[in-house]
This record gives sequence, structure tokens and C-alpha cells, in this order.
Amino acid sequence: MSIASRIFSRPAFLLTARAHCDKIVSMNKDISTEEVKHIASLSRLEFSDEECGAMREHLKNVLGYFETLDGVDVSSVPPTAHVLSMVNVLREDVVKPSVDNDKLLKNAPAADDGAYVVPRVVE
Amino acid sequence: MKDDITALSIKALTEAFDKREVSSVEATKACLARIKNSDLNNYITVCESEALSCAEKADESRKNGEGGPLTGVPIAVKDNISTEGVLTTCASKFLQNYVPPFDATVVEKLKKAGAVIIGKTNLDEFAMGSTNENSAFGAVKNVKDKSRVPGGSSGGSANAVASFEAYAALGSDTGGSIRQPASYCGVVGLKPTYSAVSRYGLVAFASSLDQIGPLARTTDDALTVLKAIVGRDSLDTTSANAPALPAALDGNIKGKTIGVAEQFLTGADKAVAAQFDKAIAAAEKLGARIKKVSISSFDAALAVYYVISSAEAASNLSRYDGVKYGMRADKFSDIADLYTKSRTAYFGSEVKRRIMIGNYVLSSGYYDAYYLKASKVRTVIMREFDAALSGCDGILCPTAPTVAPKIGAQTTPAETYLSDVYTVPVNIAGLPAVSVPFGEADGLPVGVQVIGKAFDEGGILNIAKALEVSAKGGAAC
Repeated sequence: MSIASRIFSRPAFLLTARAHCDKIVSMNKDISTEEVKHIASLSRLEFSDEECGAMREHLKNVLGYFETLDGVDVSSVPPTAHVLSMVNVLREDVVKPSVDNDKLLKNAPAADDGAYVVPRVVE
Repeated sequence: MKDDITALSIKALTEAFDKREVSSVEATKACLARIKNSDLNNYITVCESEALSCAEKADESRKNGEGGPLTGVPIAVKDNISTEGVLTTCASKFLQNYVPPFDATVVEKLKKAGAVIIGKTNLDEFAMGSTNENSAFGAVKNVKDKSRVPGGSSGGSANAVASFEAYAALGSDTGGSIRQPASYCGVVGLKPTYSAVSRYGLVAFASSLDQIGPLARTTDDALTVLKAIVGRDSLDTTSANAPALPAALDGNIKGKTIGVAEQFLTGADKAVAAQFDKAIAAAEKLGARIKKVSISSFDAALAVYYVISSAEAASNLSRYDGVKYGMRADKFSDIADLYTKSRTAYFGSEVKRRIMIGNYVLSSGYYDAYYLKASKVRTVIMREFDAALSGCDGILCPTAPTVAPKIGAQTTPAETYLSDVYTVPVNIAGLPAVSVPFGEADGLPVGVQVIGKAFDEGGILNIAKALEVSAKGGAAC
């Protein structure tokens, strides 16, 4: 008998990759086409009707899977934003050389007179 | 001797340099020749002239008695790491014309160490993917079986090392993107502790998860590259002081305790599980004690990862607006339309999917249920790892549930996410982990992963070395 099977109460955990997959993709959450369009607008993306449909399916799948989060007890657990116990790292307010603006503007799709060119923003 | 130059380890190569048996220019030319004749598509950009001129300088340095362990060694850099004056595309149509005006800190460090940057490797677009098929520059073919993927997102980097087109490579790892391709390609891949390596110049995907790390053919080489890139950087205020690293690895694990968690076998296919059993047996034979540990919230880890990484990605990728760099749509009605048309035209499908998930879980009404909840489950997982690791020197598990899948395998995006199931918990907890090749299953490489306490890269590399030596049929001391 293998060492691992001596250690564990198998075979319960040896779900095959396929079975594990099927278990996950069967979880679905309902999302409307309107919601998809709203999120697309927040994301500054646009989709054809067909693409919207495909995105809706994907979101349903993945968001359904997120329900596994509900299985964990998080009462009185603080959220983690940063894995280290670090606080704001400060430096002295001393001017240091930065990058040359011309170098930066080289990558701009449209630039003029030291600035990025965009469509009129203010009426 | 000259025929085998590209197959040498960095250690052997630098010994050959010191003995004047081989020059950096010869080694560089040999790698460039391999790349030219390759159909694997590992590289997006090859830096032929820069590499040769750097190699000449390295040879000069060595002649003058200067130089260190990486001087003159051709190393590849993943194309989401900024290289001044050299195209950095992130494998995206959006950045197909982007040339950074600065070097990432890790690139600056490698250059200072005298390494030869040979080229920029292919990846999944913006590091989002597990097969390197999400690249706007074509898929990469696994050198061990060209009908299969090299893994992702650092597929080009892992495969370049495996196919002798570079002696080592830098990759980035947010959910397994160094370790999983290392496993699929049969090379060593290390993700350092979060903050051990500066992220300045790494094109951001998920800022609380991303880390740059080495891919190499041996654990000794991985340590050599790691030493060159660690350290606090004032340009990355999330970076920490360099961890204490050993002068060399002795591969001695007598008396060490290795934790094995049953949850890390969920979904493993039989052939991979069988190789993993052999790894446990090898560790015991080498004098280590196997201890049962548990990460009870393992099942929620993949969800935590996809909520957090997608949310952070949606924020990070909002900078691609067609204004400052990258591509811009040809026709647009106003500024908002400029953003929308540019992003829609130039982002790939997987990137769009992740941005959509990210903005959904951050949007008003859903933030608490998803992002905040996931951040709390993250704390739970971190505590479970701390508890498990307090009683052992490292946790051993398979790196991926299967061997490299076929290119174009019919899976949905959600199904592809499962290949990261053993790697993502590590990024969530910010811990270091290394994948080391351990034999084969069905003729394809299998990697095992050693997860360690924060800043114990030395410890996990040592355990990995013991297994590496054992897998190659040798006996560790």
C-alpha cells in the first residue's frame, strides 16, 4: 500500500479531475443580460449579442462557483488586503529626478506640444 | 563539448567560463541558433545584437578577473517584465507597439550581475491563463510533446529553459504561473514569498498576489538567479528585505518534517498521484518524517483566488485606455467611446472575461458578498497555512492535477482554471513555493511542489534539491 494511502482515509479525496470539473461547472448563478451590459459599461467594453450571451454563460458559471465561499465561517475574521503586516512606507518629501517627458510621450498614440491628445472632454 | 553548451546548468557553464573552455559569446550564439531553428514559439522578441554585445562585455569582465555567478549567462525574461528600449507586449495586441522607457528592477539587477538578456518570452495575455494559448502571438508548443501546451502563464519562459533556448528565465506567478508550467515542462520553478522580489516594472495583474521568480534546470541554478533578484526596492513599497539565503544547497533532509495535506490530492489524476506517492517515499527514504496536516478551507481557495485576482486585474487594467501608451481605436465618438472602442478592439477574450468578473464582484451591491467575503476567507486560509507550517519544514503536494494537456483541448475557461487548484492557495497566503521535476507520468514531466513558511526559500529549495537528486536516481547525502 502506498505511503499516502496509509496516511489518508482515501479514496474519498481522490476525485478524478473530470469529476471535480463536473461538480464545479454544474454550479450556476442567474444573471440577466441587463446586468451583463451594465458590467460591460463599467468595464468600458462592448459586446455583440452573441458575445454577450457567451459572457453571460461564463459569468453564471464562475459566479455560481464562488458560492463555495459561503462554506467558510468568517464571523469575526478581518479581511486581508496585504499579506504582510506592513504599514504605509514613507520617504522624505525631497524632489528626485523622474523620467523625461519626451521619453514617455514616445509611446503615446497621439501627442502634441508635450501633452497627450484626446477628444474634447469639457464642453 | 561545444555541441552541449546549451544543455549545461548555469553552474557548469560558469565553471566552463572560468576554465576558458567556453566564452559567453559562444554560449549566447548557441542559444540564438537554437532559437532561430525552433518552431516552439517560446519568444516574442529576440535581443540578438544586445545579447551579443552584452556577452562580449561579460567575456571582457571575466578576463579582467571580475564577474560573478551570472556574468555572461543568457537568461530570458517574460514579456510582461519591462525592458528599456525593448518591446514589452504582455502577449497582447493592446501593447504590440509598447517600448518601456525604463527597466524593471529585476532586469536592472540581472544586468548589474552581468547576465545576458537573450529575449522576451511568450505568455498568456497579461499573465491571465494556464496554457499560453491566450497569447496574441500564438501558442507555445511543449518541447516534450509538441501537441501539448507548456502551461501558463509563463509558458514561454518554462519551455525556453526546458528546450535549452536559455539557461534560466524570469517568470511571474499570480496563481501558479511559474510553478505549473515548470511542472508541465520538467524544469524547476520558484515563486518567492510575496514582497521578496520587487514588482517595479512587472506589468501589474493582481497586486497582492503577483511575484517574479526564476525558472531553471536545477534547484542550484534557481537559487543563483533568486539571489540576484531579491531585495527591498524603494520603487516598490510592498517589497521587503532580502530573505536569508544559504550559500549552497546540501539536499540533506534527514530529520526534517514534511507535511502532506489530503486536500491537495483532490482532482489529481492517477498517474500524477502515483508519482507523488513516490516522492513521499523518496523523502522518507532520505530521512524525513511525513506528517499529516490539513488546510480545511482548501475547497474555497480557487474561488478566493478568482474573486481577488479578477477584482485586482479589473482595477489594474483600467489604465489601458488608448491615451497614454499602446493601441488606440481608429474611430470613436467621444472620450468614453475612445476607451471602449480601444479596449474592445485590442484585449483578448480571457482578459475581457476576467475584467468582467472583477468589476462584477467589486460593483455596488456585490462588493460585500464577493470581494469582502473573499478577503476574509483569505485570512482564514492564511491562518490555516500558518498552523499547518508551524509543525513542519514544508508542505509537499503535486504541482498540478494532471500532466500537460493537449493544445486546443476542448475545455471551457472555467475548467481550465482547475489546473491551478494546488498553486493558488500559496499566492493567497503569500508564501514561497517551488515546483521540482519528479519523474514522468505517461512519458510527460510531473512536478511536485514544496510550500514553505514566509521567507524560507532556502528551506524549500533544499527539500526540492533532495527530491531532485532522488528523482535523477542519485542518493543525496
